[in-house]
Parts: sequence; C-alpha cells; structure tokens
Amino acid sequence: MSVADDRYSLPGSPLGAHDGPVFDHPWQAQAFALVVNLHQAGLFEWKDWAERFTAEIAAAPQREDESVNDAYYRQWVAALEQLLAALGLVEDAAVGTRAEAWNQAYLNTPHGQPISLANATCPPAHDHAHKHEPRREPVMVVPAGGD
Amino acid sequence: MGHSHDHDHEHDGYQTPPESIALRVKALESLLVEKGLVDPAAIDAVVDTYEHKVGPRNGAKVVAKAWVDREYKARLLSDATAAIAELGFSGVQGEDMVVLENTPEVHNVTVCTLCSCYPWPTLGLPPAWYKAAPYRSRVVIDPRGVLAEFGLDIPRDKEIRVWDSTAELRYMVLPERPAGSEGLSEEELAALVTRDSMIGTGLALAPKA
Repeated sequence: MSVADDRYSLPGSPLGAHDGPVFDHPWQAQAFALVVNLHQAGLFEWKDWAERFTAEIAAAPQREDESVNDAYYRQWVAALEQLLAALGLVEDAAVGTRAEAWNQAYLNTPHGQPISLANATCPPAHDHAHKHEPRREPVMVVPAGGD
Repeated sequence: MGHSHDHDHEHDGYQTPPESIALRVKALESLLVEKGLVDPAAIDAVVDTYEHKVGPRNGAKVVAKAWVDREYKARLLSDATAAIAELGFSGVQGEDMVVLENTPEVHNVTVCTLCSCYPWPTLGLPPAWYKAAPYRSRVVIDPRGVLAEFGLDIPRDKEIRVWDSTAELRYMVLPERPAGSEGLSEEELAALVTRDSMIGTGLALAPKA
C-alpha cells in the first residue's frame, strides 16, 4: 500500500482539503485534551509523555481492523492510563470501576436525558412502561371491615 | 401505554453505552475532574482550539511572510521558535521549532519516526498518514520513493534531507516560492502554501494563470 494512498491526502490537494477529521470520535478529542491539559497543569513534562506514548505505539501497533485514528488514540489512552498510574494519580482499578459505572449510567438513562453518573445507582424517573411517578394518593386501599 | 417517544431500541427506551474505550476516557475525565486536576471547561477549550482554530493556515502565514520579507526569513531560519511567536503562534508543549529551507538544490521532508511529533502551532494536528507506521518507517529508508507516492518527483540531481521531529524539537519546511508568484500579495501567497508543502511531501501550488 502506498503511504500516501488514503482518502485523507491527495497529491497536490489545496490546504485543508481532503484532510479528513483530526478525530474520528468525541472520545478521541477528549483523550487528546486530557493529556494537553494535564501537561499544562504541570503534572508531567511533554518529553516524558512522548516517551511513554512512543513505547505504547511500538508495543501495540495498529491492527488490520482499526483506522489510523482508532489505533492512534487507543495507544494514546493506554499511555495516558499508564502515566497516571505511574504518577500515582489514578489507579487502573479505579478506571475500570468508574468505566463500569458509566456503562450502567447509560443503561439507566432514558433517551433524551443527559447522562449522569448518579444514574448508575439511582435511575431517574422515566415516562415509560415502568412509570414510577410520585402519587399523592394510595395506590391500593383495602376497605375496613372486609372480612 | 404512555410512550412519550417512538424510539425502538434494544434497551427499551434507555440509552446504549458507547464502546468500552469511550467509557474509559469518560472514567478518566470524571476521576481527574473530581481530583481537581482538570477543568471540564479547559477540556472543551482544547478540543475547540485544535478542531477549529489551529491548523496549517498558521504555517501558511509564516511561509508567505518569509517569502516577502527577507529579514523575517533570516530570523525564521536562525530562530524559528521566536520568529513564529512573532506572529502569535506558540506551542503548548514548550517545544523548539526549526524551519528548513527548500532550495533548487535541496528538498527537505519531515517525519516523526517514533510517534507523531509535529509542529502543532503552525500546522495543527497531523494528518492520518503522518501518524501511520508506513510513512514513519519508510520515508527514512526510501524518501525519493515515498515522495513519488505523494505525486512528488524529486529530480535525481537534487539532494533530499529527511528530518526526524522529537518531543523537544519540531521541524517545518519552508517550501520554495513558486515561479510566477511575483507581485502577489502576502495573503494571495499564503493561499498557495499547502500543508504537505510544509511537511515536505508536497510543493507550494503554482499561481493560477
């Protein structure tokens, strides 16, 4: 395969045309921005980030079924997780636990409502089959003296 | 029943979680926000900047100025970081910039063999092929062949120099000013400067006759 042979770069293309997206998915942009912000906050030198990222690229190269951006940001996120663990800022287990909480939050959040972490444990009211709105009257009354 | 919407979803009206790596990024972000290490507004600002505000137009302005202003060009070639900052472009990473001048005798091309170090302040984020292994590995072995794949045939009698950017030092190419561009304004010249011409995998465009 030609190195220039991808839809993002046609020879002699005008500036900015055929560039393709810088990010394929919002999570890629978020992961990118996390690293830039943490560096700007002084938590690590850019050189240290680049070393770790480089090592991850070498250790886990692009797979056949991945786009360039998917591979690149998979490596980016893995390097970020390793760096945060090495700095003692975020442990791997905490990331896994929190990711599962977000997963549950999605499953518990009705369409059209913002995803909130609180929904992981306490689903919001939902106008749906299992509707559970507050009622100001008893749902069931057994009259006195029935027996 | 009281369906207020007509989604027909596997989760019966509830949302589908994104792929697992997206959940991990969301997890990282929320944990870091809680620890006070990142500010959500700053995250959004960085995304906006790199998606919309920083791109190869910055580099094109630098190149066009160097083409029309001999003194600026001299400063650019001797201290690129400072000369680029004169136009208001500087890096978040504190990296040094070096600008390489293409001449009738020498063609320069840049790469990051290890990852994807790239002059963000002037070119924005790199194109996909720059980040991919084939370009990173092959341009240092057979630059003439790789450039030909970009449609760029460098004559045999012209020297090709390949420069490897790193986290501390980023290279950018000052392409040759195209023939027939005398008398164009700086703005018109900037429109001839392609992103690839500043990486070294292309040339500046010829002016329309």
